[in-house]
Amino acid sequence: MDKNTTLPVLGFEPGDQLPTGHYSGPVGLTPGRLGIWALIASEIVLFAGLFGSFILMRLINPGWAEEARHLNLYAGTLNSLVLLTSNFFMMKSSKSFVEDRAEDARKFMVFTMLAGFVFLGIKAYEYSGEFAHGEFPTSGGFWSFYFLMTGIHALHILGGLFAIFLLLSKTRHEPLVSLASRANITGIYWSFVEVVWIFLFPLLYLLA
Amino acid sequence: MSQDQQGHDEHGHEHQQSFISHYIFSTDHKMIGKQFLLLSAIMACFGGFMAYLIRWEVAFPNTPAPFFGLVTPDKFNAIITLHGTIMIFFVGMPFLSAFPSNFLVPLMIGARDMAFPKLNMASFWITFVGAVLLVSSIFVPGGPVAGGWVGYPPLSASSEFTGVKIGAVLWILALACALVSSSLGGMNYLVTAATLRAPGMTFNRIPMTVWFLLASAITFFFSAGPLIAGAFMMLMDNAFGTGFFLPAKGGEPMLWEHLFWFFGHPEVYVLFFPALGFGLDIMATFTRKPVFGYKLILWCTGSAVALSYIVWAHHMFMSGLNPLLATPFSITTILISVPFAIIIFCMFATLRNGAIRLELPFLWIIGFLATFLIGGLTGIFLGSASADIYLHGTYFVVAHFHYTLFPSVFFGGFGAVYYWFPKMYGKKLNEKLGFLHLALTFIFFNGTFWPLFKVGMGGMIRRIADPSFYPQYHQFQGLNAFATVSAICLIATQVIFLWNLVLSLNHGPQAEKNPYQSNTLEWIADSPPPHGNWGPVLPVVTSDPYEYSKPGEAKDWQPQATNLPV
Amino acid sequence: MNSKTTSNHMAVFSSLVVLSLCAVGVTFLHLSVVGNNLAIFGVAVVMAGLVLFQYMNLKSESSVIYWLTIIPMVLFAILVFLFIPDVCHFSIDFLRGVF
Repeated sequence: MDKNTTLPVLGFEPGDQLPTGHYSGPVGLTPGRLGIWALIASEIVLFAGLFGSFILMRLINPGWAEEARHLNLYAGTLNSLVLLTSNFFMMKSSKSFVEDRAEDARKFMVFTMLAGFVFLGIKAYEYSGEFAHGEFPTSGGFWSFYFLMTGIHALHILGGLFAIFLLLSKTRHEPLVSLASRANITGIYWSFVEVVWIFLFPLLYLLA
Repeated sequence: MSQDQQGHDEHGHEHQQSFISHYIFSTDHKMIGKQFLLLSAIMACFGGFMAYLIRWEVAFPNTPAPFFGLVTPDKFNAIITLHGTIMIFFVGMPFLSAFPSNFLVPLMIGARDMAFPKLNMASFWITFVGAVLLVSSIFVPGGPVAGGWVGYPPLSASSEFTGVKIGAVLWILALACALVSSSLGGMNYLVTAATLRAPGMTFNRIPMTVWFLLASAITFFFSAGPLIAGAFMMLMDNAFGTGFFLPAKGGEPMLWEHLFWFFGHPEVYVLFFPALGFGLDIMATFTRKPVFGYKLILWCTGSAVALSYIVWAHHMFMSGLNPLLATPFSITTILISVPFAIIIFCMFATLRNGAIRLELPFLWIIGFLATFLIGGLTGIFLGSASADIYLHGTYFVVAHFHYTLFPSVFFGGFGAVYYWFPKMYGKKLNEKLGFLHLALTFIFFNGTFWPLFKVGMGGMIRRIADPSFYPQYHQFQGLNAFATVSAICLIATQVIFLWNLVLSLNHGPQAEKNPYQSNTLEWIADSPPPHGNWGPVLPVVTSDPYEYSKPGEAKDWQPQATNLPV
Repeated sequence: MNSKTTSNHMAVFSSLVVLSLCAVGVTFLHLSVVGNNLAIFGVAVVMAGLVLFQYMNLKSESSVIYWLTIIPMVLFAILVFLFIPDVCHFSIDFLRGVF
């Protein structure tokens, strides 16, 4: 048995990315979408550990409410709106992929990324303000959690922006409809990052 | 492995792939599986050497260990930490979860590869980076971290306590790499099994190996999150001086323990499930009988997975755990032994009235059952909070978890290796050497860890470098010495396997495609399977994996797919 | 996706913006601690639901995905609930105080 039997009938060479099998999952679900939801499930547990720890420590440290008032509420609210906008544009982009409108798809992805960078920029502005006021991660429990949680969220935003950028660059070489599934999946991930912020923002900024 | 590569290179002119893309950055699940196997073998050498040092110091304190020198107490603490972390994350996970899932899952369900081959490759390389980080922590200034593999704060949360800064950061990063890699891998196996089964392969026709590997993957990726969160907090404590876990800075050490064991307990079942899966499939093949209670076993596995998330605090009974929690967790812990017991009973029931073929993989699984039973039973003592007051932190615990982990990794894992070796490399491992390997491993394993039960019951505390310092432990010196000599023989015995490997790969006879006449799909593929696993046509599944000894049939086995040459 | 979803995106976005501002507005009402926190948590849940079901299309996904999202949330509840006695130093005396 030649270990390197190629599959001439289907034109495969060793090293090819093969269609990996016969699809047998639920109707309408692709492996990619199941994969991203599985990833989201494990991320939810990650944030569960993080948010859970914060909630518990907050329960025994009511003094953290006072610390939270030092946060820049306006910047945080603005950030919420910016992220919502970014998410909206990603959804529109995803829809453009399905409808094969390349111009729109790319345009909305660029807007998504811009809004994402604005989010990070406002966050950086907030951080610098906090450092200027002497509020560092080592300044106490609340600040440790604040910087950690927003930091991990920011890392996820960066990762998402990278994924969107990769998708954007792929649209130059590949037909749009073949990337529609991938755009959908990227959109789902980006919406998940939004959901995290939807809970993160009240926990840090609005809790009494 | 190198012999295999030499074998390939003889046909180098037929390769259209470079060496790098075929062996190093391969996306083929079989190659990635073998990479994980090689990684776990190399890391096992590190872990095993550390085990030797630990045993030497405990049995013959303050004498220089051959090939190392004096194991001082601070070195001892670093060694036990590294031993634990390496064996669980870089030997146990790759060998029992990553390697079999990668190699077997697509083959057993009739897929050509994993759902996400590139992600699969990334998974391996992330584990590799983690392994490099951990090993490199031995050589950095300050040395490796010495907080135990559990890394309890405040000790491991600040360099002012451990004296180690870079090593602690490296340890946490290595842990993070292992967790991320296994989560991504688990996600891959789940999606592959859910969406890429061959035509006719319904969920009820999936072999037990795949079910248990899936259970392992799912259990892992739902439990890893809190520890990743905790690892970030620990990293910040160590590297930036925050106070998540330091009471002096307003932190809470119990938070780490909870986060760690919330992951840590499901993790031990992650390591155990694959061995059960292998055991069931191997038993079916060698008893020529269907597995007893397929659906029952699935229900038990499901309940075990669900229960595994609510038993974790039994590791914390003596940590200052709130007494209110002790009873509920004792109850859930004792409850979780029920589904596992049922699965083991089903394995025994599979034996009954079978036409047993006493071949090597089967004997490994019998060894697994014999030793795991002891491990599982002793867990019940530890699960009861009141008994645990005495037993926690003693060698009883050490013996318990080695009697569960070691059978899973060695007897279960090696059983799988001996069983699927012909499929992986087209050659069978030498039976006589294999039997010797099994017999000596069994004898020396029991010789090493059985005395530790006695020593633990006698009250000897674990993680102590120099027992001779404590007069109450002098009575155990004999037992400890016996255990150490057995341990050294146990480690030496594994050389037999390496010798067998080299011998069989180079000079062994070619194995037939299906040497054990097993029904499952992977035996229909060539040995080893080519890229794409199957020829142009995927197998079409028409029957159960356990159609053995069907009354009225001429053959006592029936392959799952009949459209391909068997 | 069809034109029904287009108008959907705008409607969802507007609702999310309004809800966001409502949540911030609630904090200026200076309700009781419990009242304030429940209100903002409620708003957050509604917003998350909108994103999950509309944007992420959870309403039309198969049940496998539902399980994948529900199980982590159950684990979250278990984690928080069972960590409380230790991390929050609750004891029998606390319970006695309550009852």
